[in-house]
Amino acid sequence: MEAVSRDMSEEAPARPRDVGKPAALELDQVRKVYAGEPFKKRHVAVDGLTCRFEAGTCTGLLGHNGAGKTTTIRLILGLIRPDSGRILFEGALLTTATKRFIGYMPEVNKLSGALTPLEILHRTLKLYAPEHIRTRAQRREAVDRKLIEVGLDGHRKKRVAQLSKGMARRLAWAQATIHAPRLLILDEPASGLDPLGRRHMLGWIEQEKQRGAGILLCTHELQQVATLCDDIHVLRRGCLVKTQAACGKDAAGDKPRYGLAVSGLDEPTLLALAQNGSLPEWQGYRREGFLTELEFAAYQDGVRWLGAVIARGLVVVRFGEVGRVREEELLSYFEGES
Amino acid sequence: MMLKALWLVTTETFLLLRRDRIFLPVLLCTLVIAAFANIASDWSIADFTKVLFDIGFFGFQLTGALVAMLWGTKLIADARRDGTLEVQLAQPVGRVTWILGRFLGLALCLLLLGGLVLAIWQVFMLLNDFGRMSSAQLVGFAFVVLGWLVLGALATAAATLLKQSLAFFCTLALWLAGMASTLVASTLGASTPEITRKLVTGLARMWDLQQFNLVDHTLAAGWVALPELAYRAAYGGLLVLALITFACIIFACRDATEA
Repeated sequence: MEAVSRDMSEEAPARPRDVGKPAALELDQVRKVYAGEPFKKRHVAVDGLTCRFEAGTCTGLLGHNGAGKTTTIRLILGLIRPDSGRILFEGALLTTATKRFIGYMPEVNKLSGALTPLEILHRTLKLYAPEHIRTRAQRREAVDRKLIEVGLDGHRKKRVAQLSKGMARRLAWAQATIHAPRLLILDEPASGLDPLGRRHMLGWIEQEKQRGAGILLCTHELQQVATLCDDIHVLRRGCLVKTQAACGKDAAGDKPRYGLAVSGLDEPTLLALAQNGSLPEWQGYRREGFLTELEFAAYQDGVRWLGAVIARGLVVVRFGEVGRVREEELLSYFEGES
Repeated sequence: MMLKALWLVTTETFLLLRRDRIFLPVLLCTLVIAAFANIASDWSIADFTKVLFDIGFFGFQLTGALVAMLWGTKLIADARRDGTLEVQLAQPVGRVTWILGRFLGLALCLLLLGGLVLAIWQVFMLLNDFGRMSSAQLVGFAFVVLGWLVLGALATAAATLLKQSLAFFCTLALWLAGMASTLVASTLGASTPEITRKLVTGLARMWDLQQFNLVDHTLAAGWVALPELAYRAAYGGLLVLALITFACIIFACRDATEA
């Protein structure tokens, strides 16, 4: 596939919103070596990892199996200690006390099977004691609201062990977000959910993003990354190999881009249209088989091209905001590693 | 904040153990032991009371010790295995707080178990026209529960360092060693080298779990002197403290997911 779209730089330039503001989470030269059992080799799980996770954005943490994603999450959560490096939360060292601003949803159900959703959510709120929920009545109201939101209102007194996998996932989501965290760490949030459950989950993640929470999304589902993530960090053998803006925002101006996919638009026709003079310049161009895709910085530019190609009798396959990172592009990072 | 977290971990642990599937079978087991002691004492040609108390107290000591060792190792191993440890430590709960909370929850549940066993025993006492338990018998029972707490702390400490099965067997071996230590020390003959004698006697004194078994004194006319009683209770508390401190240090220093 020929690609003349924007240059994929190895390091995404800092956007205006990043300058001078501490990241929601920052890893600075973090290194972790597992000593292993006697007579086994030492294993470098994370090697000098430096990356940022911004507030109000969803950042994907990608990598093949064994790339160091789980170790990175465990380091952030304080389950394991780094051999060197620092982990900063909003500019200060991450401590037990600052963990009250973080929510975590693990990949599989890791809540005590003997407890009920009601007990788990009440306990979580007591522990995190968020500013806006202080009294018992407020706590009860917040728990009720959350249980209704995730569809577990009718199962509030069932033990977790008796819940279905999907229900347990929704409870894990409720537990991770009931205290309105500033940073949300999600490990394969949609795993084990049915299609409707997945849609709900993606909607909830989007809501958290809108609320202003920074989201660290660790997933192997590239479509989720393409849909949700603003930035991505790609790990390979414990090292950060790629940081990139995943969404269709212009690196300098933070503006969205628009794509027009047309079937049967050959190069002579395209040049003829371009030489017409009245049509604006495109920002990116791709061609694969019969499909030609043009990218524009402004919506109006795209609309004018749309009118022109329709007038030529060509078939428009797609028109809208683009620039979301493409699955095949993400797949290229995994090649030869899994 | 830390105290709140400690309280929440403690209450959660207590709740988990109270709902544990072995809680009711253990109570049933103590009921059977009390009934068996009752029947055996009826059939016995020896002193009725002595047989009743010997079997009953030994049965309670054994059951509680096994439960304390099992729960102590299981609490940490299960949390590691099913991942609840990951979720709990991701919350604003420090590692030391977590371990302390786990042990306190275990201690509370062992105290509850002790209370229920005591109630069962009292019922059997009333059935045998012994009336209410004397204060000496109650103190004897309290020391049995203290022995459980020491074993619970030992199991917790072992579980921070080892996998569940290994931790359980190590605790079991140390419990047996503690029960037999003074007996072994007393068998040393005159030909035993002085250094060996000192070492064995010292170790036997340090790890003597029989000191929490007051059943003989409970029935005997001469009760243990109050300073000796206070010493034993303080030593039990000290053992618990030392073992839990060890558990906290180990748990704080190592990776939490590592066993």
